[in-house]
This record gives sequence, structure tokens and C-alpha cells, in this order.
Amino acid sequence: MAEEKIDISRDPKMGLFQKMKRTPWMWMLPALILLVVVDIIPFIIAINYSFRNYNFSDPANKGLWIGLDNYRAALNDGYLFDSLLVTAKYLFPAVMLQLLLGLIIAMALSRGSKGHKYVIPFLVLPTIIAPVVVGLIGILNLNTEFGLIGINLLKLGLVTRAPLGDPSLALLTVILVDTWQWTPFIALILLAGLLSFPRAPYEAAQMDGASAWQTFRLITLPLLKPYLVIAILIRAIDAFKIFDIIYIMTKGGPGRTTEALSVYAYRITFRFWNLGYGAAVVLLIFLISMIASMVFFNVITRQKKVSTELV
Amino acid sequence: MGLSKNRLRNYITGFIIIAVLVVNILPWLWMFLAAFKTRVDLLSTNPIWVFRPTLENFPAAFIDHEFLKYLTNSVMISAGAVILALAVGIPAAYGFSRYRVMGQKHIFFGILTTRMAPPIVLALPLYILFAKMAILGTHIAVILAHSTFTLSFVIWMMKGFFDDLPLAVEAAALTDGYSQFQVFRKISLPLVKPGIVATALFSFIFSWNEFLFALVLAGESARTLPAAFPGLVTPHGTYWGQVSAAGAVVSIPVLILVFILQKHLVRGLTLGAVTG
Repeated sequence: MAEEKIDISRDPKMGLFQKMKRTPWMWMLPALILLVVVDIIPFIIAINYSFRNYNFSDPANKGLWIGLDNYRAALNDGYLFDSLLVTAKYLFPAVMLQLLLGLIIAMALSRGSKGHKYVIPFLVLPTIIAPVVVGLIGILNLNTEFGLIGINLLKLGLVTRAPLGDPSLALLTVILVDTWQWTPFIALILLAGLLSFPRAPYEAAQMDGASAWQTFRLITLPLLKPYLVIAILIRAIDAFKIFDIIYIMTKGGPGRTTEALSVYAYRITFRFWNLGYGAAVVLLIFLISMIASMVFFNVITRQKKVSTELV
Repeated sequence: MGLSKNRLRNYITGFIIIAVLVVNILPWLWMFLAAFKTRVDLLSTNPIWVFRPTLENFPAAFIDHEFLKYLTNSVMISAGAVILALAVGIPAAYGFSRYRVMGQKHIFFGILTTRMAPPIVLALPLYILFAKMAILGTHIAVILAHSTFTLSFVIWMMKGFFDDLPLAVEAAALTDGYSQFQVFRKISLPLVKPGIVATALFSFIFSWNEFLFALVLAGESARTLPAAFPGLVTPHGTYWGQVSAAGAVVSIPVLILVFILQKHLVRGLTLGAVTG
């Protein structure tokens, strides 16, 4: 969002807007009230709960003030650490794989003339449908008794049972389903970049007899870099939130092999009803994502031109 | 030589595009077809593509398992979340677009930071808050929860559309004695109408697809379609025909909307990922 575009106060012609400057808050007041109700108050509640021992499944815990005990417990919670590890083991390969595939698809689409207009609605199908349905499609297709993919994997001898029920394959399967869901999104961002590039450098490269690989490495890649950075960041922040497809496909199992952070936090809060401890855990998760979003903002302001185009 | 190399490249390009489309569509199509299969056809150990279609899964899911009620809830909640977010978000977006507000950057950052955290971070405190307000399990609860992401989406999206408007017209209207609210209502708002439609449709999709808040806050009486799926996946087995029928019904409206929203797809999905 380019702020330079409309800086009324500096434009003499727009002096008339000066008198409106007095009341900008009027425009935002309703939104701010809603934000206070659905964001600020819940946040205060969470902080309050995180210092108490609320546990709905244990009547003895009635919300006594216990100071930092919940946070201390969280930092010593091996399960929490494991779920952070599962999240990392899913996030990095998934985002990298999606970036690589997305780049190949975007390159292919940018070569096809105007045809991509008809392709894109079908391309983005996995991204746009409900994540819960993505998960269901995953189970239905990967089932080794009647699933389209599962039957064939079994025939080829690649699996011996449903991959989602196999502790050594479950996380990989989650990564692949997630890749099915999100690769089109990356492809779409990169395609927007590829289609916006000037033709001149490419024509010059062709005249100089540059090979396809040289053209890609020396022209396309540097031009594409800001788009790649933004795609990685947006995707990584979103991948950190993963819950829906895991909850539907494995509920964190088998064992706890696919129990990502959100899935573990859900188990503490809405399965064991340990709300005090759960509040401390979600606030720690919030802290991690806040650090991530600060990095995001720093980078996005540096890539201003592209972020203006996309966002 | 040069021509054949070019032709080879075109073949590779075509192959990639077709392969991607097959990979993207086939798993969904498998579910879509399963919605019209009998139990015997569905559970066949040989993939069946040609079969005698049946409609029995739809009444089984939508009437026997009350998915019709969940469908109604989904429509009401998505519509409510969109209307609420547009009503308070559009004026806010206009304000952010037209004025240099003190601390604007911090407000934007604040709005986004809460959005970048996983939804479970908000789900727990919202559950406690709504329990205290005694609105747990109502449509209002889910609408308010969904407004957390539809509102920030509307503000960001609409700020962009307002930024793109030429200011000269508004300035002229102000000279003619229009009040600032009249300028907003009679000039700016009609000009961004296509933007409002796109923003509303995207918000609708995001609310329609949302799972965790609905699962935790809706209870039985306000349950949405996505949140109803776990109920069909039981320890005694999954009603795959019904799951597929409901899955088809959840995804079809979204697929239709994608065609309408094509022009805004990159921006909408990018902002959706950031604000959702």
C-alpha cells in the first residue's frame, strides 16, 4: 500500500481535506470498538488466565493465582517442545517443496500465451476450498482399500498400509497434502511477478545468445527475488498456523508424530480443559509468531515496490 | 534447430500444465464422484470411474445427519461475518486511506500481529469471553470470532481500492459544499463498488471455509458445515458417501466464486493468507 500516493497534507490542491483531518477517528471508531471486543479483551483474559490454575476437568482448581508456574511448566513441557519440533519438521520442507514446484508451474504458465486465464481457476482449486475438505480428500484418496492414490501406492509396493496411519510416513504425508493445497498459491504469486517483468533484458539476452539456464539465472532469478521472499514469508507464517488438515486427517497421530503446535494447544485446552496452562501455552505461541511477523514487516517494507503490487 | 528446440520447450510447458491440472483436479473429482456412489461402488478395491450414480448420500447427510441445518448456519454466519466486517471495515479503510492518522503504522501492525498468530491463540480466550457473555453456541459468537479475520481483510483490501481513487473528484465535491460524509457516501462508495463486491465475496469464502472457531465456539445449535465433518468420521467407521456429498456442497460455491474473482485472485489470496 503506497502511502506516498495520497499524502493530502503535502498536496496544496488537497488543502480542503485538511478540515477533515480533525475527525479521522470517527471513521475508525466502529472498527476499533470491534477490535477491542474480539482482540484486546480476549488477550487480557488470556494473560489473566495464564497466571492461574484454571482446569475445568479438575474441580479443585478454581483459578487460584499461581504466578509464573504455568510458564515454568510450559518451558519444561517435553510435549510442547516436541510439537514445536514437529511444526519445524513440517514447515521447512513443505515451504521449500512448494516454492520449487510453484516456481516450475509459474514458469510454465508464463510461457503459455493468454491460456493461463482459463487454467488458473482450476489451478487454485486446492487452495481455495475449505482446508477441512482438503483433509477429507487426503484421507479418501490415500486410503489403501478404496482410495485412488492409496490403492496404487499399495500396488506399486511403495506403502504397506495407509500412509496416514504409518508413524514413519504420516508427517511426510501431511507435508504432501499441504503441498497439494498451497503450491498453487505460490505459483500464482510468482506468476504475477513473471508477467510483470520488462521484455528488454530478455530480448538483449537472446541477441547475445544466452542459454536458457543463463537467462534464468542472470535475469529471471534476480528479478523474481522479491516475489520469492514474500512468497516464502507469507507461506511460512501461514504454515506455522497449521491445524485443520492435521486435525481431520490424523488428530496429531499416529502416536504424536504429526502433533504440530496448534494441535497440541488444542489438546491441552479443548480436550483436557486445562485453561490456565493452555493460556500460557497460546501466549508463548503468540510470542513466537509476533517475532516472526516483525521479521515479516521489516522485509516487506524493504520490498516495498512488490508488496505494493501484491498487497 | 532453433525451431525444434522451441517446440520441445512448448511440449514440456504443455506437459507441466496438463500434469498440474490433473494432479489438482483428480483428488477432488474422486471425492465429488464418491458423493454419487453407492456404498458398494465407493468401497470397491478397484477404482471405479463408470458407475450408476445414486443421490442417496445427499438426503442421508443433509436430512438424517442434519447437514441442512449446518448449511443454513454456514450461510447465516458467513453472511453475518461479511456484513459486520463491511459495515465497520469500509469506513475504517476510508479513514486510513484519506488521513495520516497518528500511530497508523502501529495500528496496522497491531491488527496484523494478532492475525499472524495461529487461530488457537484467539480461540481459547474467545471461548472464555463468550462463555462469560453467555453467547457460546450462538451464531453471534461465531460471527464475532470470524470478524477477527474478515475485518482486517476488509480494511486492507478496501484501503487499496480507496487509495486507487483519484482525489480530484472528492476535492471538487467538497468545494461544492458536500459534507465529508456525503463525499464518502455519494462519490467514493459508488466508485469502489466492484471492489466492495470482490472484498465481500472473498470474506464470505474465508468465513465459509473456517474450521477451528466454528468447531470450538458454535456448539451444536450454530454448527457450520466444516465443523460438522468430524461428526461423520466416527470410531465405527466413516460415512464416506455422506462426507463426500457434504464436501461437494461445501466446495462448489467456492469454485464458482473463483471464476468471478479471477481478476483479484492474487491480491485476495495474499491478503487472505496474511490476515486469516
